[in-house]
Amino acid sequence: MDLSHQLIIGFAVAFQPVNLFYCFLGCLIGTLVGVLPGLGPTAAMALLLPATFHVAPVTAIIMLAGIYYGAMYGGSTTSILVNIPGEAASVMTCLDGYQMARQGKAGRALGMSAFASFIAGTLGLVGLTLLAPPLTVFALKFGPPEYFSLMSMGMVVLSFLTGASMIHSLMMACFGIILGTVGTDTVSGSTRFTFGLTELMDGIGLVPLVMGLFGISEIILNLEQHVDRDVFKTKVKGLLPTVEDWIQAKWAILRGTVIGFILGILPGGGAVLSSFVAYAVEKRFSKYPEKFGTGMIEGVAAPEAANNSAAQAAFIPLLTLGLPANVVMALLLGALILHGVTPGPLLLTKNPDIFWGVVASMYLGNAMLLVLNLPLIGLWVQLLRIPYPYLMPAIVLFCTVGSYSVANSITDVYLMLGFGIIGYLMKKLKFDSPPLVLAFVLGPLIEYYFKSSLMFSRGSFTVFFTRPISLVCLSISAVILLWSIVAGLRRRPLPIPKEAP
Amino acid sequence: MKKTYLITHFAWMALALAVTAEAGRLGFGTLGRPGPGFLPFLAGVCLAVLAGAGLIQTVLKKPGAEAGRGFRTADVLRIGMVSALLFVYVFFWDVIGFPASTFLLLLFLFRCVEPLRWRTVFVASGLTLAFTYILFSVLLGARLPAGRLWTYLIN
Repeated sequence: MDLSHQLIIGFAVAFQPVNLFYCFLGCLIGTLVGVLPGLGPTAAMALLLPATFHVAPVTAIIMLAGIYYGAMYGGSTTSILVNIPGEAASVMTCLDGYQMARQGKAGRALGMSAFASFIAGTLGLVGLTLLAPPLTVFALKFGPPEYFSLMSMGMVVLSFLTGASMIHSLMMACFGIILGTVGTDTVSGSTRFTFGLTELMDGIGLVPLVMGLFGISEIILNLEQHVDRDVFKTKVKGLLPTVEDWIQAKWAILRGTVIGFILGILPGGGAVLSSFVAYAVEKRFSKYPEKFGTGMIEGVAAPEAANNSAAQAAFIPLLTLGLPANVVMALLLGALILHGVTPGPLLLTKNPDIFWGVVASMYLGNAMLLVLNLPLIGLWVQLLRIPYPYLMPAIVLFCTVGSYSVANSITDVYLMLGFGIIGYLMKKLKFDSPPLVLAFVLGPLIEYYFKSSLMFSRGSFTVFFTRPISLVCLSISAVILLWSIVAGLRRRPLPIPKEAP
Repeated sequence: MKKTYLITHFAWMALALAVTAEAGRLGFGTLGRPGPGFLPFLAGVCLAVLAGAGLIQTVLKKPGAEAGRGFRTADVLRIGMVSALLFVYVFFWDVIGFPASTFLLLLFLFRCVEPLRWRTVFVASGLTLAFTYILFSVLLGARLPAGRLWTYLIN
């Protein structure tokens, strides 16, 4: 079956009314989550995961994916109009977007952001469509040692890229693996770290963990600081960028797309990192780097293109290798497993409707998002005016009820609150959550592949070093670790800030 | 913050040691046939080593001159109170049921965390509760706790 036939199958699935509806719903919720600071796409996806249990797996993934890339679109609105990123990937858009709004160019900034997102998202999808099938064939060569090494590399790269301290990130990855082992060991049948609680026999749920670390912890953190959102008092008009804007931004969009696509595929990359890199690269390429931060349209186009391209590219390792590149993809991996679908090289042959249905829905979703974000911009601006005190109790309630409704378990809600407090402390002490969640999801898989490899080699660790793909992955991990150690030793110790009275 | 970081790394090390001890009890198995404690043991050892490295790094760092955003007593009290309230709220799901306990929680959050007028508090609490109940219980079919107290009083 060639690519066009596969895409036809995908569009046939995506155009089913129920899938169209859920795609639209996902994009709508994603935009909403992106616009409103306080609940990111990860927490929103975790919250809505239980709601997808009664629909087909493809429909569920279409909606959850829509929330993710929809949030990338929505995040820019808050960045441009309020100077607060709606979600982490829109941080760089604040720099020039808000300055444009201050100069009365809010409409052009919002328009360029939406068009750059659409172009990059669509180009990213074309890349996904073309690259996924050959990568799937390549992935069929993978055995347990390759998977173990690849997953280990993913965690090391993510730990290296996120956060200020590699030690803290690696500690979080170890903690995530330990949390992932809670429950009954599938091989021996013995229970681990359950403290005699029957509720923990099936392990810790992904939803309570994510809701706690990303939802409740944010609420607790906001109790410390007064959240004030002054929406820029300007009439949003002229949403179509001018010809001059297009000339200025065309290369920024293309460069942002390529950077986002490459960093999106890499384990540990993703939308946040790519938007930072794209902005830095654009500044380097610009003839007027000193003007960045004063309202340059390239400063809006590049990060927005990058984060949307990365959002689409991140699906490649998930769908072809079953390896999540970032925490959102880890959540999608969990969702697929909960729906009885095993992502990986066999997904394309065993469930082509799911694979191509999701891909095709993203083409439609991108078009929906353009419509949602341009003509309906007034609606999102109104939503931004909802004061935080009204939103906070609703978010708390959604988190608690969302955690409970996965398994109708009060223990899950207690766990979520516990992880909320842990998440708050982690944020205060600069320990990052993404490596923890990724390790938590990958932990059971890593254990399975690690044990399988050792059993296959009769207890010899050489199995990881005699197979080329595994060797390459482990070598990359070793280089990154050595690099971090050397860089840490050469760097002069930074002063620790004194505690405020 | 230096003291806070020292305590944090000691806590991580203690956790790591507890995990390795429990992993030992579970059994490592052999290299050719790893047991249930094999991976937790490795993860525990790695965590202990990293916590040790973090501890050394913290000891070597000099305290900075400028004030950072640490833990302020007022914030800790406020956060502690809200966190405790959330635990109590979930405990009361079983006793007085989801709607009653949620309404009380919302009254508190709307009134005390960010003070709003009482009329606004009641309207906002009622609307939020109604929306959540309709969404999760009616539309998504979640079986939210009704509360043993009401069942006891009715019977």
